[in-house]
Amino acid sequence: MRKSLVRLVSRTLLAVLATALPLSAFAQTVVTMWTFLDPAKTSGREVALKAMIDSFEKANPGIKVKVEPQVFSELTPKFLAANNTGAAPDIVWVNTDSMGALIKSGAAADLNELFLKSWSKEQDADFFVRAGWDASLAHGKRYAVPLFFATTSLFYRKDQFKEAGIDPASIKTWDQLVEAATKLTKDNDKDGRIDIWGFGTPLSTERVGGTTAFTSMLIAGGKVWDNCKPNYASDVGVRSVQLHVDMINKYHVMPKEVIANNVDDIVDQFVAGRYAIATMPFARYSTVQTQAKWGADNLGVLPWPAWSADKVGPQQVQGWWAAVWAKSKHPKEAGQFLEWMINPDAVRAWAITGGQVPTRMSVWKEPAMRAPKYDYMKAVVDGWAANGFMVPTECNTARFDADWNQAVQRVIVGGKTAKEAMQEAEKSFLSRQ
Amino acid sequence: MHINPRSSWYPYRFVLPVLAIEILFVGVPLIIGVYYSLHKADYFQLTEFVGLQNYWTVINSPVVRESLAATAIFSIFSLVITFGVGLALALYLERDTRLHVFTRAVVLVPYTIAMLVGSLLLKWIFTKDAGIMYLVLGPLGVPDISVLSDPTSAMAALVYNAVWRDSAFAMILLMAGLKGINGQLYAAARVDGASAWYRFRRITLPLLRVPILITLIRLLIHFVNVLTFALILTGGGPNNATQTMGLAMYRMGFVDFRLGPANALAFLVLLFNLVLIFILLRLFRQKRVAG
Repeated sequence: MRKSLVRLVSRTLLAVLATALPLSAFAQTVVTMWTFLDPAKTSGREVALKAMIDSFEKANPGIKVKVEPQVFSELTPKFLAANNTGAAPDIVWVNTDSMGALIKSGAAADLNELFLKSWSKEQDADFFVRAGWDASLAHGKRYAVPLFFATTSLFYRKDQFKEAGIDPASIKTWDQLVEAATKLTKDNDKDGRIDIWGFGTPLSTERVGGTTAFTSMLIAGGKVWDNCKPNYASDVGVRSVQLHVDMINKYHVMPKEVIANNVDDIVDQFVAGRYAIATMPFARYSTVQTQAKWGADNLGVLPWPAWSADKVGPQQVQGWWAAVWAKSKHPKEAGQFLEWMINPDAVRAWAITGGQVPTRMSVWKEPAMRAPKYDYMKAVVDGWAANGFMVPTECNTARFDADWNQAVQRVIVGGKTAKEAMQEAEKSFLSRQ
Repeated sequence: MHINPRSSWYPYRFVLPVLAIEILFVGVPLIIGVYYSLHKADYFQLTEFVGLQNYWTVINSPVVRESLAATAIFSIFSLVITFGVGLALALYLERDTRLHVFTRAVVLVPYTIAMLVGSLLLKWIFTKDAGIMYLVLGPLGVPDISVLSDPTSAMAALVYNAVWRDSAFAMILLMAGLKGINGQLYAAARVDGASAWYRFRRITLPLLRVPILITLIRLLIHFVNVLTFALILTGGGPNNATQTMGLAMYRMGFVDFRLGPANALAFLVLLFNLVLIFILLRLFRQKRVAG
């Protein structure tokens, strides 16, 4: 009798434990997130993200964040396809190029309803890059919040500038940049082959990622898009194409090879010491510093030139935003984590651990950000403050910069004039609207 | 359910599972694709029915016409050279000596490397100033040219990529055919005094007809539809000279998010493939009748 009672009690306890353990797991809400970062890896941004997830889960024991890393260029197409099948993640990251697609697809939730409506005006104003903060605003709804901003920058070699006797502050116009690039172009070993080119920019039509000099050039000349109608074949558009062509054919400060180079090729060549000035994503700053054989301290950032010395060159606002899926089964929890990823602690982590420019002015003004190692961010912050712009998100801006690169190719190898080439670029843009 | 082996339905019992998989993974997506091609489908959202408007847009697109020309040039050159190299390798490496077996393994290496990796490797080789092509060929008097920034040499590089990778595949298919030819036929022909060229023309080629046809069809479909080579090696440039149909479709659908025209183009490419295969089948059937 006693033995059977003991057996009964022990079996009952076992059964209760066997169901309680998985049940306790089910009691946790799992929020899935698609991003190009992998918290298991060790780059600055990935370490920062892991720390954010750990701290969020500690503060919210009932919520678990599950990251499913994706290839960055496939994030939005996959998300939009998954939106149709009902298999999208709760949170998705989108970049500048895909913001328009996200808004038009209706696949993102209104974050005002989830958490933003409870914010104060001061909290809202703390996001000082207003073009970026309002990038996802449409019809009174806000569909995404910025995690970190990015831009295309002009990286330059301080050692090469010093050797050539060029003061970086003297480069205020495109003509002055070309003049400097001419002095910086060198055949060191006199074998008839250029060893260092004065200027480099990706002119391929694939994997350009908004890193051309074109955007700044055209924006400086006036309104480039008017209700999604392009104005490329204007005087400044033609001038921009011709300048690129002349840098290759006339001034010989850029190799013809750049028409086959994408952004990764230009970064690799710059790191290898083949360019004195090059356009590339600002986010690559720490990577270039780490890999450059010519010394991390020799890396600098030039402000964007303008067409005349009395103006400031436009600085594009790009970056990555996060959105909640409109059909998410856990919108509240997803919104909570989204808000966590942009709170001051997170912004500080993105900046200090991740090497990103802070999105909040309160963080940018902190003493820690005054350390000399963050001086390179100043050029970007000043540029945004003086003349920041974003490409219109209401238009389909896919490959808008590839169209301009194509225009240069049409002139160099296709025999077209700059005006004809830009008129074709206008048609390409319009065909996508 | 037991079916009598003598029943006319018996063979279908073995084919049905594979057919079901083909219908599920090929037929259903094809029907969905055609459905999308008849609608405005931007950002993966189906909106209005537009009939054949997407087909008209694609046919009239100068970019698509350029892609058709680029695909035709790439496919024809790649097919001829890949088949030629594959046949030569198959004939030369058919014997099973240690050296031949080792050489076959070496020849297969490009085919075993992922297409993306292979194209990236070649891009690094062809890069002017920094690539190793000039390091190797420069001492032989070859000038350091920018292969990828000239339309003609960029297309040549693309064809080279295809031949480098896929001649091993052609070699495998043709070698399988060669192994099926009875060696006694060659022995008898040698006894009769037939030369090597005569044996090749009168024994090898006729008996290799089916493997040749299969190889040509497989290679042609592959070259007409391949995306990776142009995407990685040349980016479709310069000046759209190497933008193949595969790349044009990919950009239209997954970069521009215009799924309607992208699916229309995909369906037109399917029809194009079917026409090419039909022409090949007819050519081989005529040759057999004439023979």
